[in-house]
Amino acid sequence: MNECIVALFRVAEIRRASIRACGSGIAALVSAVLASGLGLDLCASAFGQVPQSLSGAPVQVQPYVPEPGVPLITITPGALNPFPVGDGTGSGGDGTGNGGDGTGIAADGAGTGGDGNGGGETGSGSVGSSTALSAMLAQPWGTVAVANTQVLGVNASAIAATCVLESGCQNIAAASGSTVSGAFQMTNATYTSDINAALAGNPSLSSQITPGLAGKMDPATEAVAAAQDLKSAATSLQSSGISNPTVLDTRGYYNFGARYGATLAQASDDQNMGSLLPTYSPSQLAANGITPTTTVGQWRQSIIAKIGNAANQPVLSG
Amino acid sequence: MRRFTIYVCAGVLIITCGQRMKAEGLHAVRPLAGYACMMLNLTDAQMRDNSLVVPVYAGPSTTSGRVGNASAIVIAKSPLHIVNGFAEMLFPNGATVWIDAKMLRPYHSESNPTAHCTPSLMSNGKPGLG
Repeated sequence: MNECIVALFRVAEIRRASIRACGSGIAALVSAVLASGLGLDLCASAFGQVPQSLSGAPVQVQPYVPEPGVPLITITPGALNPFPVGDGTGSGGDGTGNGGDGTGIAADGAGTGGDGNGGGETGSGSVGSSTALSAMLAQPWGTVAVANTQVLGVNASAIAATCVLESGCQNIAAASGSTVSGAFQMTNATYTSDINAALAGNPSLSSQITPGLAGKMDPATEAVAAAQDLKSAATSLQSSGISNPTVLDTRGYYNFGARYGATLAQASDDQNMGSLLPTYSPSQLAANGITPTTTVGQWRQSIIAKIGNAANQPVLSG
Repeated sequence: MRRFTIYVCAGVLIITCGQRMKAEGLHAVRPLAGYACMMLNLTDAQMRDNSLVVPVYAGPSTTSGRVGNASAIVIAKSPLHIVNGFAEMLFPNGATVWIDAKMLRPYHSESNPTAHCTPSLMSNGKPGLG
């Protein structure tokens, strides 16, 4: 910031000099704008852009003088998004033509369409609006999955981000020789363990799900197991001192192991992955699509490019 | 009028720079003096075993109360401060906690022997790895 202020005064000095030289109001304005642009470039060179996500309802104006005739409007966090795909149907936008930010995977994954910031959504509180959530809600099972997820106290955007990352929210059958399947791409063992844990903690869910392993190919049911898995990851990160784990934090947990999840969560953007995963060999890093010199910031951005603003949302909604 | 134009441009510059600073990612603000990075004394397979945990305690004994679990890289007091076989360290939430000293070993990266790790105060106000 100090650099910005110094640059600012230099800009002002240059501007004054140019005003004296040209003596024209229009020229002065042009030179000031150019100088301001130079200043912005100087500042911009130091900062990377990180999408900011809105978690919960925006701050509400609290009028201290009531206006006659205006009804009192109260926003209740936790209500479902009444327009699940309403923000994905706009035309134009700044991307590939489908525009808006609600086109889900394509807009987020390609990084060219939409703005990736989920603006205009009306989701709130424990739902946590995001472009990933819009992608999941566009599926016929999406709304039920959100409701099931909320029972477990998991942010629906977090579970939506998982399905976007794992399958593009498509219910994919297991490949030959593998048990990994479904919209959340879980193994039989993981699914069984997680669904049992979820039902043990929330018996009321038993009437909402497809019983047995068949539930793994029912995305609304598999979402329950996936939400339980995310909850376990977030709880584990909390026990390692990460107070409010985000979706991004849990990706570190899943990709690199429980102990490394917390390490990555507290690392600087400019730190190298090779430095933070000290027991990983170069080949193990390569298997995860990174090199020893890949920075944490680059890794974080690679996740953000796929799931947009859901990346920085908290996993737990309670 | 000219001066007004200058002030308007300056205001735009300050506001824009301020907003950009708010948007930057997690970064180190300054090193934490008196601390060093250390690793858990586990194999690679153990590091990634989610069922294996290394507890940390509120004080230098198992009876002081378990606070949580250690992550792969810990911020240990340097030089090591060992009491009753427990080493003092800094938890990611800023609390001072204690870990079985036998569970620590010097920091070393397999993939990059010249890698560095600096305990730092992060931009979120918490301890981290810079």
